[in-house]
Amino acid sequence: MKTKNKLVLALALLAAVLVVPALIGSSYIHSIIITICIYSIFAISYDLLLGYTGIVSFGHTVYFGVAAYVVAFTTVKLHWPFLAAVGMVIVVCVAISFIFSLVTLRTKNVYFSMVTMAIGQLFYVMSTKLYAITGGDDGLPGVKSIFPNKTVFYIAAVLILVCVYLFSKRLVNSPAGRVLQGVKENDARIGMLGYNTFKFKSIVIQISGLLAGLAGILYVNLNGIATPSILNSSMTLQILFMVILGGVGTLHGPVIGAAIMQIASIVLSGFTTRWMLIFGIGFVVVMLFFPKGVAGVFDRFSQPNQLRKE
Amino acid sequence: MSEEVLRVQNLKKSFGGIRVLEDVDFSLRKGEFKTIIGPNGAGKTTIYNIVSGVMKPTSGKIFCKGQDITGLPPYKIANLGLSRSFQITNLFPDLTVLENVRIAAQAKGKDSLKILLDYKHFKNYFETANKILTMVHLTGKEDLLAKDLSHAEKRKLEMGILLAMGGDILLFDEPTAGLSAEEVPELFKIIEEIKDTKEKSILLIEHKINIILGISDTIAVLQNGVLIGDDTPEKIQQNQAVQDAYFGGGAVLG
Repeated sequence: MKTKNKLVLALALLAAVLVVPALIGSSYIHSIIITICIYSIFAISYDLLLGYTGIVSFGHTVYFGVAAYVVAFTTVKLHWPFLAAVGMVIVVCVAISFIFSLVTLRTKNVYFSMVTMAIGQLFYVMSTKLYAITGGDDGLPGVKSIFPNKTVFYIAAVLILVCVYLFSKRLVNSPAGRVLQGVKENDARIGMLGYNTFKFKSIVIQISGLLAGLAGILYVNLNGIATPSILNSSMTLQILFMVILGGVGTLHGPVIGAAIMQIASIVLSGFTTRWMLIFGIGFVVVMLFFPKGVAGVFDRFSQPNQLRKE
Repeated sequence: MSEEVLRVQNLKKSFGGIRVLEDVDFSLRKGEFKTIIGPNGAGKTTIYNIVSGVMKPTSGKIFCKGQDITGLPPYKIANLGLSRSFQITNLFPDLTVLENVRIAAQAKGKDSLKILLDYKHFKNYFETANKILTMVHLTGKEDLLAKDLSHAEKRKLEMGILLAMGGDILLFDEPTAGLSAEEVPELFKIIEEIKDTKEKSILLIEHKINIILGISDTIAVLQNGVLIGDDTPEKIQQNQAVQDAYFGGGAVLG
Protein backbone atom coordinates (compact mmCIF):
# COMPACT_ATOMS: atom_id res chain seq x y z
CA MET A 1 0.00 0.00 0.00
CA LYS A 2 1.13 3.53 -0.67
CA THR A 3 1.74 5.83 2.24
CA LYS A 4 -1.06 8.14 1.15
CA ASN A 5 -3.58 5.32 0.90
CA LYS A 6 -2.45 4.05 4.26
CA LEU A 7 -3.01 7.47 5.83
CA VAL A 8 -6.50 7.75 4.36
CA LEU A 9 -7.32 4.25 5.56
CA ALA A 10 -5.98 4.99 9.05
CA LEU A 11 -7.99 8.22 9.31
CA ALA A 12 -11.15 6.49 8.07
CA LEU A 13 -10.63 3.74 10.62
CA LEU A 14 -10.08 6.25 13.40
CA ALA A 15 -13.23 8.16 12.41
CA ALA A 16 -15.23 4.94 12.37
CA VAL A 17 -13.90 3.84 15.74
CA LEU A 18 -14.69 7.26 17.22
CA VAL A 19 -18.09 7.90 15.67
CA VAL A 20 -19.88 4.57 15.40
CA PRO A 21 -19.81 3.42 19.04
CA ALA A 22 -20.39 6.99 20.19
CA LEU A 23 -23.67 6.83 18.29
CA ILE A 24 -24.61 3.40 19.60
CA GLY A 25 -24.16 4.60 23.14
CA SER A 26 -23.96 1.22 24.86
CA SER A 27 -21.97 1.62 28.03
CA TYR A 28 -20.98 -2.06 27.91
CA ILE A 29 -19.46 -1.80 24.42
CA HIS A 30 -17.73 1.40 25.47
CA SER A 31 -16.15 -0.28 28.47
CA ILE A 32 -14.82 -3.10 26.30
CA ILE A 33 -13.22 -0.71 23.83
CA ILE A 34 -11.81 1.47 26.61
CA THR A 35 -10.28 -1.66 28.14
CA ILE A 36 -8.78 -2.58 24.78
CA CYS A 37 -7.31 0.91 24.50
CA ILE A 38 -5.82 0.69 28.00
CA TYR A 39 -4.22 -2.69 27.34
CA SER A 40 -3.03 -1.47 23.94
CA ILE A 41 -1.17 1.44 25.55
CA PHE A 42 0.24 -0.95 28.13
CA ALA A 43 1.28 -3.44 25.43
CA ILE A 44 2.84 -0.73 23.23
CA SER A 45 4.92 0.38 26.20
CA TYR A 46 6.05 -3.22 26.62
CA ASP A 47 6.86 -3.57 22.92
CA LEU A 48 9.23 -0.60 23.16
CA LEU A 49 11.32 -2.72 25.54
CA LEU A 50 10.76 -6.19 24.10
CA GLY A 51 10.58 -5.48 20.39
CA TYR A 52 12.75 -2.42 19.98
CA THR A 53 15.43 -2.72 22.67
CA GLY A 54 15.51 -6.44 23.38
CA ILE A 55 14.82 -5.99 27.08
CA VAL A 56 12.59 -8.72 28.55
CA SER A 57 11.15 -7.40 31.78
CA PHE A 58 8.86 -9.59 33.88
CA GLY A 59 8.13 -6.73 36.24
CA HIS A 60 6.55 -4.34 33.78
CA THR A 61 3.17 -4.34 35.48
CA VAL A 62 4.72 -2.58 38.48
CA TYR A 63 4.26 0.77 36.72
CA PHE A 64 0.70 -0.06 35.75
CA GLY A 65 -0.31 -1.31 39.16
CA VAL A 66 1.51 1.30 41.20
CA ALA A 67 0.05 4.07 39.04
CA ALA A 68 -3.44 2.74 39.75
CA TYR A 69 -2.70 2.47 43.47
CA VAL A 70 -1.18 5.94 43.64
CA VAL A 71 -4.25 7.48 42.01
CA ALA A 72 -6.57 5.48 44.28
CA PHE A 73 -4.65 6.28 47.47
CA THR A 74 -4.08 9.98 46.82
CA THR A 75 -7.56 10.80 45.53
CA VAL A 76 -9.62 8.57 47.84
CA LYS A 77 -7.64 8.62 51.09
CA LEU A 78 -5.81 11.95 50.81
CA HIS A 79 -8.48 13.73 48.75
CA TRP A 80 -5.91 15.13 46.36
CA PRO A 81 -7.11 16.61 43.08
CA PHE A 82 -6.69 14.29 40.10
CA LEU A 83 -3.88 16.30 38.49
CA ALA A 84 -1.82 16.16 41.69
CA ALA A 85 -2.29 12.40 41.66
CA VAL A 86 -1.04 12.27 38.07
CA GLY A 87 2.01 14.30 39.12
CA MET A 88 2.66 11.79 41.88
CA VAL A 89 2.33 8.90 39.39
CA ILE A 90 4.99 10.52 37.21
CA VAL A 91 7.37 10.90 40.15
CA VAL A 92 6.84 7.31 41.29
CA CYS A 93 7.14 5.82 37.78
CA VAL A 94 10.36 7.73 37.14
CA ALA A 95 11.75 6.41 40.43
CA ILE A 96 10.77 2.82 39.62
CA SER A 97 12.21 3.01 36.11
CA PHE A 98 15.45 4.23 37.65
CA ILE A 99 15.57 1.04 39.73
CA PHE A 100 14.93 -1.11 36.66
CA SER A 101 17.61 0.83 34.74
CA LEU A 102 20.14 0.09 37.46
CA VAL A 103 19.31 -3.60 37.16
CA THR A 104 20.29 -3.52 33.46
CA LEU A 105 23.78 -2.40 34.51
CA ARG A 106 24.41 -5.63 36.36
CA THR A 107 22.31 -8.26 34.62
CA LYS A 108 21.32 -9.24 31.11
CA ASN A 109 18.83 -11.49 29.35
CA VAL A 110 17.27 -14.18 31.54
CA TYR A 111 18.94 -12.82 34.67
CA PHE A 112 17.45 -9.40 34.06
CA SER A 113 14.04 -11.01 33.57
CA MET A 114 14.37 -12.91 36.84
CA VAL A 115 15.43 -9.87 38.86
CA THR A 116 12.61 -7.78 37.41
CA MET A 117 10.15 -10.55 38.22
CA ALA A 118 11.41 -10.51 41.81
CA ILE A 119 10.95 -6.74 42.01
CA GLY A 120 7.48 -7.14 40.53
CA GLN A 121 6.47 -9.79 43.05
CA LEU A 122 7.85 -7.59 45.84
CA PHE A 123 5.37 -4.88 44.88
CA TYR A 124 2.62 -7.50 44.60
CA VAL A 125 3.29 -8.81 48.10
CA MET A 126 3.44 -5.27 49.45
CA SER A 127 0.02 -4.55 47.95
CA THR A 128 -1.47 -7.52 49.79
CA LYS A 129 0.29 -6.92 53.11
CA LEU A 130 0.45 -3.14 53.60
CA TYR A 131 -3.16 -3.07 54.62
CA ALA A 132 -3.17 0.52 55.90
CA ILE A 133 -2.09 1.93 52.56
CA THR A 134 -3.32 -0.57 49.96
CA GLY A 135 -6.32 -2.10 51.63
CA GLY A 136 -4.77 -5.56 51.33
CA ASP A 137 -6.59 -8.14 49.23
CA ASP A 138 -9.72 -5.98 49.19
CA GLY A 139 -7.88 -3.33 47.19
CA LEU A 140 -8.60 0.38 47.19
CA PRO A 141 -12.12 1.06 45.93
CA GLY A 142 -14.01 4.30 45.46
CA VAL A 143 -12.00 6.03 42.74
CA LYS A 144 -14.21 8.44 40.86
CA SER A 145 -13.69 8.68 37.11
CA ILE A 146 -12.61 12.08 35.88
CA PHE A 147 -14.66 11.53 32.75
CA PRO A 148 -18.30 12.66 33.03
CA ASN A 149 -19.59 9.62 31.12
CA LYS A 150 -18.48 6.53 29.22
CA THR A 151 -18.79 8.16 25.80
CA VAL A 152 -16.35 10.93 26.71
CA PHE A 153 -14.04 8.41 28.35
CA TYR A 154 -14.25 6.26 25.27
CA ILE A 155 -13.31 9.08 22.88
CA ALA A 156 -10.51 10.21 25.20
CA ALA A 157 -9.12 6.67 25.47
CA VAL A 158 -9.03 6.21 21.70
CA LEU A 159 -7.35 9.58 21.19
CA ILE A 160 -4.78 8.91 23.92
CA LEU A 161 -4.02 5.54 22.33
CA VAL A 162 -3.51 7.21 18.94
CA CYS A 163 -1.14 9.77 20.53
CA VAL A 164 0.81 7.05 22.34
CA TYR A 165 1.07 5.05 19.12
CA LEU A 166 2.27 8.02 17.05
CA PHE A 167 4.75 9.05 19.73
CA SER A 168 6.14 5.52 19.96
CA LYS A 169 6.37 5.26 16.18
CA ARG A 170 8.36 8.50 16.15
CA LEU A 171 10.58 7.32 18.96
CA VAL A 172 11.55 4.02 17.30
CA ASN A 173 12.36 5.80 14.04
CA SER A 174 14.40 8.55 15.68
CA PRO A 175 18.20 8.54 15.90
CA ALA A 176 17.83 7.33 19.50
CA GLY A 177 15.41 4.61 18.34
CA ARG A 178 17.99 3.35 15.86
CA VAL A 179 20.54 3.13 18.66
CA LEU A 180 18.03 1.08 20.68
CA GLN A 181 17.63 -1.24 17.70
CA GLY A 182 21.41 -1.60 17.75
CA VAL A 183 21.29 -2.39 21.47
CA LYS A 184 18.80 -5.15 20.70
CA GLU A 185 21.01 -6.56 17.94
CA ASN A 186 24.38 -6.32 19.61
CA ASP A 187 24.53 -4.59 22.96
CA ALA A 188 28.31 -4.89 23.40
CA ARG A 189 29.16 -3.59 19.97
CA ILE A 190 26.90 -0.56 20.30
CA GLY A 191 28.96 0.37 23.36
CA MET A 192 32.18 -0.09 21.42
CA LEU A 193 30.88 2.38 18.84
CA GLY A 194 30.84 5.06 21.51
CA TYR A 195 27.24 4.93 22.70
CA ASN A 196 26.58 4.92 26.42
CA THR A 197 24.20 1.97 26.39
CA PHE A 198 23.09 2.59 29.96
CA LYS A 199 21.87 6.05 29.02
CA PHE A 200 19.87 4.78 26.07
CA LYS A 201 18.39 1.87 28.00
CA SER A 202 17.45 4.21 30.85
CA ILE A 203 15.68 6.56 28.46
CA VAL A 204 13.53 3.82 26.91
CA ILE A 205 12.81 2.21 30.29
CA GLN A 206 11.75 5.61 31.55
CA ILE A 207 9.45 6.31 28.59
CA SER A 208 8.04 2.81 28.65
CA GLY A 209 7.40 3.06 32.39
CA LEU A 210 5.57 6.36 32.05
CA LEU A 211 3.36 4.98 29.27
CA ALA A 212 2.53 1.92 31.37
CA GLY A 213 1.74 4.30 34.23
CA LEU A 214 -0.60 6.23 31.93
CA ALA A 215 -2.40 2.97 31.17
CA GLY A 216 -2.67 2.35 34.92
CA ILE A 217 -4.23 5.78 35.48
CA LEU A 218 -6.86 5.08 32.82
CA TYR A 219 -7.47 1.60 34.27
CA VAL A 220 -8.29 2.87 37.73
CA ASN A 221 -10.54 5.52 36.22
CA LEU A 222 -12.47 2.86 34.36
CA ASN A 223 -12.74 0.27 37.12
CA GLY A 224 -12.82 2.56 40.14
CA ILE A 225 -10.63 0.19 42.14
CA ALA A 226 -7.00 -0.87 42.43
CA THR A 227 -6.50 -4.51 43.44
CA PRO A 228 -3.38 -6.67 43.96
CA SER A 229 -4.20 -8.69 40.82
CA ILE A 230 -2.95 -5.85 38.60
CA LEU A 231 0.44 -6.04 40.31
CA ASN A 232 0.76 -9.80 39.94
CA SER A 233 3.35 -11.07 37.48
CA SER A 234 0.56 -12.88 35.62
CA MET A 235 -0.49 -9.41 34.50
CA THR A 236 2.92 -8.88 32.91
CA LEU A 237 2.60 -12.27 31.23
CA GLN A 238 -0.79 -11.28 29.80
CA ILE A 239 0.79 -8.19 28.29
CA LEU A 240 3.65 -10.30 26.97
CA PHE A 241 1.06 -12.59 25.35
CA MET A 242 -0.66 -9.65 23.72
CA VAL A 243 2.59 -8.33 22.26
CA ILE A 244 3.73 -11.72 20.96
CA LEU A 245 0.29 -12.65 19.67
CA GLY A 246 -0.06 -9.34 17.83
CA GLY A 247 3.52 -9.15 16.61
CA VAL A 248 6.68 -8.16 18.45
CA GLY A 249 8.43 -5.04 17.26
CA THR A 250 5.55 -3.64 15.22
CA LEU A 251 3.69 -1.25 17.58
CA HIS A 252 0.37 -1.96 15.81
CA GLY A 253 0.77 -5.64 16.69
CA PRO A 254 0.31 -5.01 20.42
CA VAL A 255 -2.95 -3.17 19.66
CA ILE A 256 -4.19 -6.13 17.62
CA GLY A 257 -3.03 -8.51 20.35
CA ALA A 258 -4.80 -6.53 23.07
CA ALA A 259 -8.03 -6.47 21.05
CA ILE A 260 -7.91 -10.21 20.25
CA MET A 261 -7.20 -11.15 23.83
CA GLN A 262 -9.92 -8.93 25.23
CA ILE A 263 -12.55 -10.09 22.76
CA ALA A 264 -11.45 -13.73 23.09
CA SER A 265 -11.81 -13.57 26.86
CA ILE A 266 -15.36 -12.27 26.53
CA VAL A 267 -16.41 -14.70 23.79
CA LEU A 268 -14.64 -17.80 25.13
CA SER A 269 -15.63 -17.24 28.74
CA GLY A 270 -19.23 -17.50 27.52
CA PHE A 271 -18.55 -21.17 26.73
CA THR A 272 -16.35 -22.19 29.60
CA THR A 273 -14.69 -20.77 32.67
CA ARG A 274 -11.50 -22.53 31.52
CA TRP A 275 -11.24 -20.21 28.53
CA MET A 276 -7.53 -19.64 29.14
CA LEU A 277 -7.03 -23.27 28.13
CA ILE A 278 -8.48 -22.67 24.66
CA PHE A 279 -6.60 -19.43 24.43
CA GLY A 280 -3.35 -21.17 25.40
CA ILE A 281 -3.69 -23.67 22.55
CA GLY A 282 -4.33 -20.80 20.15
CA PHE A 283 -1.27 -19.07 21.47
CA VAL A 284 0.93 -22.11 20.85
CA VAL A 285 -0.43 -22.36 17.29
CA VAL A 286 0.43 -18.71 16.65
CA MET A 287 3.92 -19.18 18.05
CA LEU A 288 4.54 -22.23 15.87
CA PHE A 289 3.12 -21.05 12.57
CA PHE A 290 3.17 -17.26 12.75
CA PRO A 291 6.26 -16.27 14.71
CA LYS A 292 5.72 -12.66 13.73
CA GLY A 293 2.24 -12.69 15.17
CA VAL A 294 -1.02 -11.56 13.62
CA ALA A 295 0.57 -8.32 12.36
CA GLY A 296 3.14 -10.43 10.51
CA VAL A 297 0.34 -12.29 8.72
CA PHE A 298 -1.29 -9.02 7.64
CA ASP A 299 2.02 -7.67 6.39
CA ARG A 300 2.60 -10.79 4.34
CA PHE A 301 -0.71 -10.29 2.56
CA SER A 302 -0.47 -6.55 2.11
CA GLN A 303 3.02 -6.61 0.57
CA PRO A 304 3.54 -10.13 -0.80
CA ASN A 305 6.31 -9.41 -3.30
CA GLN A 306 8.32 -6.87 -1.42
CA LEU A 307 11.66 -7.83 0.05
CA ARG A 308 11.99 -7.15 3.72
CA LYS A 309 14.35 -4.26 4.08
CA GLU A 310 14.55 -3.19 7.65
CA MET B 1 59.50 11.94 16.02
CA SER B 2 55.80 12.59 16.25
CA GLU B 3 53.86 12.44 19.49
CA GLU B 4 52.54 9.29 21.13
CA VAL B 5 48.82 8.76 20.61
CA LEU B 6 48.66 5.48 22.50
CA ARG B 7 50.89 4.21 25.27
CA VAL B 8 50.65 0.78 26.86
CA GLN B 9 52.62 0.82 30.10
CA ASN B 10 53.78 -2.26 32.04
CA LEU B 11 50.58 -4.07 31.20
CA LYS B 12 49.91 -7.26 33.16
CA LYS B 13 46.91 -9.50 32.92
CA SER B 14 46.14 -12.81 34.60
CA PHE B 15 43.05 -14.95 34.33
CA GLY B 16 43.04 -16.77 37.64
CA GLY B 17 46.48 -18.34 37.88
CA ILE B 18 47.26 -18.03 34.20
CA ARG B 19 49.43 -15.07 33.25
CA VAL B 20 48.42 -13.85 29.83
CA LEU B 21 50.36 -10.60 29.62
CA GLU B 22 53.68 -9.93 31.32
CA ASP B 23 54.87 -6.33 31.51
CA VAL B 24 53.87 -5.42 27.98
CA ASP B 25 55.14 -1.97 27.14
CA PHE B 26 54.90 -0.17 23.80
CA SER B 27 53.59 2.95 22.22
CA LEU B 28 51.99 4.04 18.97
CA ARG B 29 52.99 7.36 17.47
CA LYS B 30 50.86 9.65 15.40
CA GLY B 31 50.65 8.37 11.84
CA GLU B 32 52.50 5.16 12.70
CA PHE B 33 51.52 1.77 11.34
CA LYS B 34 52.42 -0.91 13.86
CA THR B 35 51.67 -4.59 13.48
CA ILE B 36 51.54 -6.99 16.41
CA ILE B 37 52.45 -10.54 15.52
CA GLY B 38 52.68 -13.62 17.66
CA PRO B 39 51.42 -17.18 17.78
CA ASN B 40 47.85 -17.98 18.80
CA GLY B 41 47.37 -17.45 22.50
CA ALA B 42 50.23 -14.97 22.78
CA GLY B 43 47.85 -12.36 24.20
CA LYS B 44 47.36 -10.06 21.19
CA THR B 45 43.61 -9.79 21.40
CA THR B 46 43.83 -9.45 25.18
CA ILE B 47 45.86 -6.27 24.65
CA TYR B 48 43.08 -4.97 22.40
CA ASN B 49 40.43 -5.93 24.91
CA ILE B 50 42.21 -3.98 27.63
CA VAL B 51 43.01 -0.97 25.44
CA SER B 52 39.40 -0.73 24.22
CA GLY B 53 37.97 -1.09 27.73
CA VAL B 54 36.36 -4.52 27.39
CA MET B 55 38.66 -5.93 30.11
CA LYS B 56 40.46 -4.40 33.03
CA PRO B 57 44.20 -5.03 33.39
CA THR B 58 45.61 -6.77 36.47
CA SER B 59 48.13 -3.95 36.60
CA GLY B 60 49.62 -1.39 34.27
CA LYS B 61 48.25 1.66 32.52
CA ILE B 62 46.95 2.73 29.14
CA PHE B 63 47.25 6.30 27.91
CA CYS B 64 45.41 7.67 24.90
CA LYS B 65 46.62 11.06 23.68
CA GLY B 66 48.17 11.67 27.08
CA GLN B 67 45.02 10.79 29.02
CA ASP B 68 44.91 7.81 31.37
CA ILE B 69 42.14 5.59 30.01
CA THR B 70 42.83 2.51 32.14
CA GLY B 71 39.53 0.95 33.20
CA LEU B 72 37.29 3.47 31.42
CA PRO B 73 34.10 1.99 29.89
CA PRO B 74 34.37 1.13 26.15
CA TYR B 75 32.11 3.95 24.98
CA LYS B 76 34.27 6.63 26.60
CA ILE B 77 37.41 5.20 25.00
CA ALA B 78 35.66 5.03 21.63
CA ASN B 79 34.66 8.67 21.99
CA LEU B 80 38.32 9.64 22.44
CA GLY B 81 38.89 8.56 18.84
CA LEU B 82 40.02 5.00 19.41
CA SER B 83 38.15 2.58 17.14
CA ARG B 84 38.65 -1.16 17.08
CA SER B 85 37.47 -4.04 14.94
CA PHE B 86 36.99 -7.65 15.95
CA GLN B 87 38.65 -10.86 14.93
CA ILE B 88 35.38 -12.71 15.31
CA THR B 89 32.91 -10.82 13.17
CA ASN B 90 30.80 -8.65 15.43
CA LEU B 91 28.05 -6.98 13.41
CA PHE B 92 24.38 -6.08 13.77
CA PRO B 93 23.08 -9.17 11.93
CA ASP B 94 19.46 -8.12 11.39
CA LEU B 95 20.20 -4.57 10.31
CA THR B 96 21.02 -3.66 6.73
CA VAL B 97 24.60 -3.16 5.59
CA LEU B 98 23.94 0.56 5.24
CA GLU B 99 22.43 0.79 8.73
CA ASN B 100 25.38 -1.07 10.26
CA VAL B 101 27.70 1.64 9.00
CA ARG B 102 25.25 4.52 9.47
CA ILE B 103 24.72 3.75 13.15
CA ALA B 104 28.49 3.79 13.61
CA ALA B 105 28.70 7.16 11.88
CA GLN B 106 25.85 8.50 14.02
CA ALA B 107 27.84 7.64 17.15
CA LYS B 108 30.29 10.39 16.28
CA GLY B 109 27.59 13.04 15.86
CA LYS B 110 25.52 14.81 18.47
CA ASP B 111 22.05 13.78 17.32
CA SER B 112 21.72 10.40 18.98
CA LEU B 113 19.59 11.59 21.89
CA LYS B 114 16.95 13.16 19.66
CA ILE B 115 13.81 11.12 20.09
CA LEU B 116 11.23 13.17 18.22
CA LEU B 117 12.85 13.50 14.79
CA ASP B 118 13.01 10.90 12.04
CA TYR B 119 16.49 9.46 11.65
CA LYS B 120 16.17 9.76 7.88
CA HIS B 121 16.19 13.51 8.41
CA PHE B 122 19.90 13.38 9.30
CA LYS B 123 21.28 12.95 5.79
CA ASN B 124 24.92 13.50 6.74
CA TYR B 125 25.18 10.07 8.36
CA PHE B 126 23.80 8.42 5.24
CA GLU B 127 26.36 10.30 3.14
CA THR B 128 29.23 9.22 5.40
CA ALA B 129 27.95 5.65 5.36
CA ASN B 130 27.67 5.52 1.58
CA LYS B 131 31.14 7.01 1.16
CA ILE B 132 32.58 4.35 3.47
CA LEU B 133 30.71 1.51 1.77
CA THR B 134 32.39 2.61 -1.47
CA MET B 135 35.76 2.58 0.29
CA VAL B 136 35.30 -0.98 1.54
CA HIS B 137 33.92 -2.17 -1.81
CA LEU B 138 30.39 -2.91 -0.62
CA THR B 139 28.53 -0.66 -3.04
CA GLY B 140 25.36 -2.33 -4.24
CA LYS B 141 24.97 -4.35 -1.05
CA GLU B 142 23.47 -1.51 1.04
CA ASP B 143 20.04 -3.03 1.45
CA LEU B 144 21.10 -6.57 2.29
CA LEU B 145 20.93 -7.71 5.88
CA ALA B 146 24.36 -8.06 7.43
CA LYS B 147 23.70 -11.72 8.24
CA ASP B 148 23.13 -12.49 4.56
CA LEU B 149 26.60 -11.36 3.47
CA SER B 150 29.41 -13.76 2.59
CA HIS B 151 32.21 -14.10 5.11
CA ALA B 152 34.56 -11.88 3.07
CA GLU B 153 31.85 -9.22 2.79
CA LYS B 154 31.27 -9.40 6.52
CA ARG B 155 34.97 -8.72 7.08
CA LYS B 156 34.69 -5.69 4.81
CA LEU B 157 31.61 -4.49 6.67
CA GLU B 158 33.46 -4.93 9.95
CA MET B 159 36.10 -2.63 8.53
CA GLY B 160 33.44 -0.22 7.31
CA ILE B 161 31.98 0.06 10.80
CA LEU B 162 35.44 0.77 12.17
CA LEU B 163 36.01 3.53 9.62
CA ALA B 164 32.57 5.03 10.15
CA MET B 165 33.34 5.50 13.82
CA GLY B 166 35.72 8.15 12.59
CA GLY B 167 38.45 7.60 15.17
CA ASP B 168 42.02 8.62 14.39
CA ILE B 169 43.49 5.56 16.13
CA LEU B 170 42.45 2.34 14.44
CA LEU B 171 42.89 -1.09 15.95
CA PHE B 172 42.43 -3.89 13.43
CA ASP B 173 42.13 -7.38 14.86
CA GLU B 174 43.00 -9.88 12.12
CA PRO B 175 40.89 -8.29 9.40
CA THR B 176 41.63 -11.21 7.09
CA ALA B 177 40.73 -13.95 9.58
CA GLY B 178 39.06 -16.85 7.81
CA LEU B 179 39.53 -15.42 4.32
CA SER B 180 40.80 -17.43 1.37
CA ALA B 181 44.15 -16.53 -0.22
CA GLU B 182 42.38 -14.79 -3.12
CA GLU B 183 40.33 -12.60 -0.80
CA VAL B 184 43.19 -11.36 1.37
CA PRO B 185 44.77 -8.84 -1.07
CA GLU B 186 41.51 -6.90 -1.47
CA LEU B 187 41.27 -6.34 2.29
CA PHE B 188 44.89 -5.27 2.50
CA LYS B 189 44.40 -2.89 -0.39
CA ILE B 190 41.73 -1.15 1.68
CA ILE B 191 44.06 -0.99 4.67
CA GLU B 192 46.84 0.44 2.48
CA GLU B 193 44.47 3.09 1.15
CA ILE B 194 43.66 4.08 4.72
CA LYS B 195 47.36 4.21 5.55
CA ASP B 196 48.08 6.37 2.51
CA THR B 197 45.71 9.08 3.73
CA LYS B 198 48.28 9.57 6.54
CA GLU B 199 45.44 10.66 8.83
CA LYS B 200 45.29 7.60 11.03
CA SER B 201 47.53 5.86 13.50
CA ILE B 202 47.07 2.16 13.00
CA LEU B 203 47.60 -0.91 15.13
CA LEU B 204 47.15 -4.22 13.33
CA ILE B 205 47.09 -7.81 14.51
CA GLU B 206 47.90 -10.12 11.62
CA HIS B 207 49.54 -13.43 10.78
CA LYS B 208 50.32 -12.91 7.10
CA ILE B 209 54.01 -12.10 7.55
CA ASN B 210 54.92 -11.48 3.90
CA ILE B 211 52.26 -8.78 3.57
CA ILE B 212 52.88 -6.98 6.86
CA LEU B 213 56.63 -6.71 6.31
CA GLY B 214 55.87 -4.38 3.42
CA ILE B 215 53.10 -2.34 4.99
CA SER B 216 54.25 -1.82 8.60
CA ASP B 217 56.40 0.98 9.98
CA THR B 218 57.11 -1.11 13.04
CA ILE B 219 56.42 -4.66 14.13
CA ALA B 220 55.92 -5.81 17.70
CA VAL B 221 56.39 -9.48 18.46
CA LEU B 222 54.49 -11.05 21.31
CA GLN B 223 55.16 -14.51 22.65
CA ASN B 224 53.52 -16.08 25.69
CA GLY B 225 52.48 -12.65 26.89
CA VAL B 226 55.96 -11.17 26.65
CA LEU B 227 56.94 -8.54 24.11
CA ILE B 228 60.18 -9.95 22.68
CA GLY B 229 60.73 -7.30 20.03
CA ASP B 230 59.37 -3.96 18.80
CA ASP B 231 61.24 -2.42 15.89
CA THR B 232 61.29 -1.72 12.16
CA PRO B 233 60.56 -4.71 9.91
CA GLU B 234 64.23 -4.96 8.88
CA LYS B 235 65.55 -5.05 12.42
CA ILE B 236 62.82 -7.42 13.58
CA GLN B 237 63.85 -9.92 10.93
CA GLN B 238 67.42 -9.80 12.22
CA ASN B 239 66.44 -10.05 15.88
CA GLN B 240 67.70 -13.42 17.14
CA ALA B 241 65.05 -13.83 19.84
CA VAL B 242 62.31 -13.19 17.34
CA GLN B 243 63.79 -15.54 14.80
CA ASP B 244 64.01 -18.31 17.35
CA ALA B 245 60.55 -17.78 18.70
CA TYR B 246 58.44 -16.89 15.77
CA PHE B 247 60.08 -17.10 12.40
CA GLY B 248 61.36 -20.61 13.04
CA GLY B 249 64.78 -19.76 11.64
CA GLY B 250 63.39 -17.75 8.75
CA ALA B 251 61.58 -20.63 7.10
CA VAL B 252 58.27 -18.80 6.75
CA LEU B 253 59.79 -15.54 5.62
CA GLY B 254 59.14 -16.41 1.97
